[in-house]
Amino acid sequence: MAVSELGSIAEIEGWTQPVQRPLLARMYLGLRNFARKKPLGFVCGCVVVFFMVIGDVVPETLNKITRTAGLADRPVPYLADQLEKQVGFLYPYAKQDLRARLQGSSSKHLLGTDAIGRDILSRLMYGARTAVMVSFGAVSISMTIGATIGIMSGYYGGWVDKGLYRLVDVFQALPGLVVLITILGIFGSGLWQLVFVIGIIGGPIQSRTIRGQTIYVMASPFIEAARVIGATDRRIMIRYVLPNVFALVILNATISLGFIVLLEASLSFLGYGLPPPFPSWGQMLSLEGRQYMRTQPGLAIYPGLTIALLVFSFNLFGDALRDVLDPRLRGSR
Amino acid sequence: MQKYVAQRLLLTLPTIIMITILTFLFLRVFLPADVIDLIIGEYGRNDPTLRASLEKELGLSGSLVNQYLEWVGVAWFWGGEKGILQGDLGESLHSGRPVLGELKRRVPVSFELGLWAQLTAVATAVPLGVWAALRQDKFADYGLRSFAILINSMPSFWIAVLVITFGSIWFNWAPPINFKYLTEDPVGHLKIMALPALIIGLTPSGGLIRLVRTQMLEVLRQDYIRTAHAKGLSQNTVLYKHALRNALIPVVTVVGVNLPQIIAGTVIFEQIFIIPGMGRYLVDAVNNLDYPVIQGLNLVFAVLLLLAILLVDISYAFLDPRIRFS
Repeated sequence: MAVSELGSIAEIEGWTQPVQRPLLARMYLGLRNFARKKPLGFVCGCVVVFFMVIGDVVPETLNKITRTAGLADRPVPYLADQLEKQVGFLYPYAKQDLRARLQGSSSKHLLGTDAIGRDILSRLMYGARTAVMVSFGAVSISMTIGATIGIMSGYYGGWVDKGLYRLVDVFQALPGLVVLITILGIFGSGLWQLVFVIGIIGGPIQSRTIRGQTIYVMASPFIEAARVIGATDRRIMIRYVLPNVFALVILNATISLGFIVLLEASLSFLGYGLPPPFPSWGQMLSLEGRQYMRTQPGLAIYPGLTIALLVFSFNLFGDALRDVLDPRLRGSR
Repeated sequence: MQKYVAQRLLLTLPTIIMITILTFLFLRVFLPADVIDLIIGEYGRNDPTLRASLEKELGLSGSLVNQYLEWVGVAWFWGGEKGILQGDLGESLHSGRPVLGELKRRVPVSFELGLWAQLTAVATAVPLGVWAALRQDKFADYGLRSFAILINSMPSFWIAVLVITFGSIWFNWAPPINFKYLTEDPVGHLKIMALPALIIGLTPSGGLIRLVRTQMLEVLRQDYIRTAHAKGLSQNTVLYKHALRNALIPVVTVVGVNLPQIIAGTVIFEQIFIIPGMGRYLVDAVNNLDYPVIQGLNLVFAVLLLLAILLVDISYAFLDPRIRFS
């Protein structure tokens, strides 16, 4: 019987093929499943999405890409600009009102104002952009580097493995904050500098677990089968190994997200974050504002609370995701 | 065991060499601004002979390979200047003082602070983690775990800012400005270090509580614990002699791996609590492009961290016989 006949037989016998739902429906079902299993993790995921929307992450990224590609004829509109027009208590991040310095909460400034009369709530909103963009950007870069190194050293073994491992050792011995301060301080800082420097410095260390998983995957028969049918090394690594270590990559990513938010906040706090007028939560807590915190304690409280909220959400979301993706690791952190 | 230690020591060497190369590349080759330009700007005249003599003095003349060898001190063996191998890290471009002397004064302070922080973290996290494990799924367990997650999410420098802000509002308190060294005034020294150490230690303790708890639960499920109970050992003996000692092995790794990052993290707290460690030195040097200082700091830091990692690996082998004998 030829293969083409199988289809008709299936029809006659009344067999039905498994229904392949469209991608959107599958995503919706997966989300619903996740929300049922891990309600708290789902809520935390929503908080993260909220911060992403508030921080205009998507428009900023798209605009950056079109600008570097030279296609900047019509920039994507920012949600924040619209909000400022519609809502009475949100202002541009650098708008000063020197007559309303260091105010407490009021209907005009919900969380009060800082030392030069800028609205704290609005600045917190813009600060979300810094925090979320740096964390997601840096994590995607470091995961790309980590996965490449991990898979290569696990796949090739031997000298490649040894060489790459020395490199990872070097990066592990780098004193994180000190090196970051050095690089950002000398070469100048900014949103994309933060993303790349944090991402690259943190990348090689991520490769350790991925290498282990790769070695584990390499023992499976389907790798051998792929070799037998003559797949190239690159093809095996991308089509066979990568999908099998991808869950681990996602897990490592979610675990480092919160850590990177804290790192960015620390750097901004020390003055190596974004250049001044643009707000970041860490910089809002920084030493320059310290003498005003006595008169307006809100200056010291709110930015820290938002950092804690975002990191908390990242951590719990990561935990929930880990439980769903890989039950063996439950409670291991 | 000796073979293992020797092997680990040997493997550290290439790492150190790589780190010197990286430091050199970043601070001499990729540097966006020319240090000589900056210094000549202070002299106020652009004089080629002055430039040449400065280049020679700062070790910036000749090919890059030569500069590197001179900086490391390999060139000394055939009659070059003294370098790192001879214990000469150069002089600060600004104060003109030798970097090594300044580091000798400052590095121990940062390391001490980091060690105290790690110590407080371990001292609180281990008992709390064991306690949570023994009361699994009871109120104490949930409370502690939530506390641990919360602590992990808060930036520790924020806690420091809050302590200082509300300390000044409620108690009219501010961190002391005059630092006292351990050798001069031990009691005053510890008084100054206690608060920052406690606050720095909070973040790692959150993670450690959870780690100790899961490890304890894991170990308590093992057969040898049942055997120990069966042969009639007291609860305390089983807990502390059999369970805790095994549960702590991964904790040692985590402590060792975290220690470098904690010590690097003291940079922030040295700024907040006015402690003359490496933080201030580093920030000033970076702002002034004082590259001998930056090089020295990064290098010394990296080497000390390597040693810390090495010590952890070795102590790990001591704790876990399976590594020692394999």
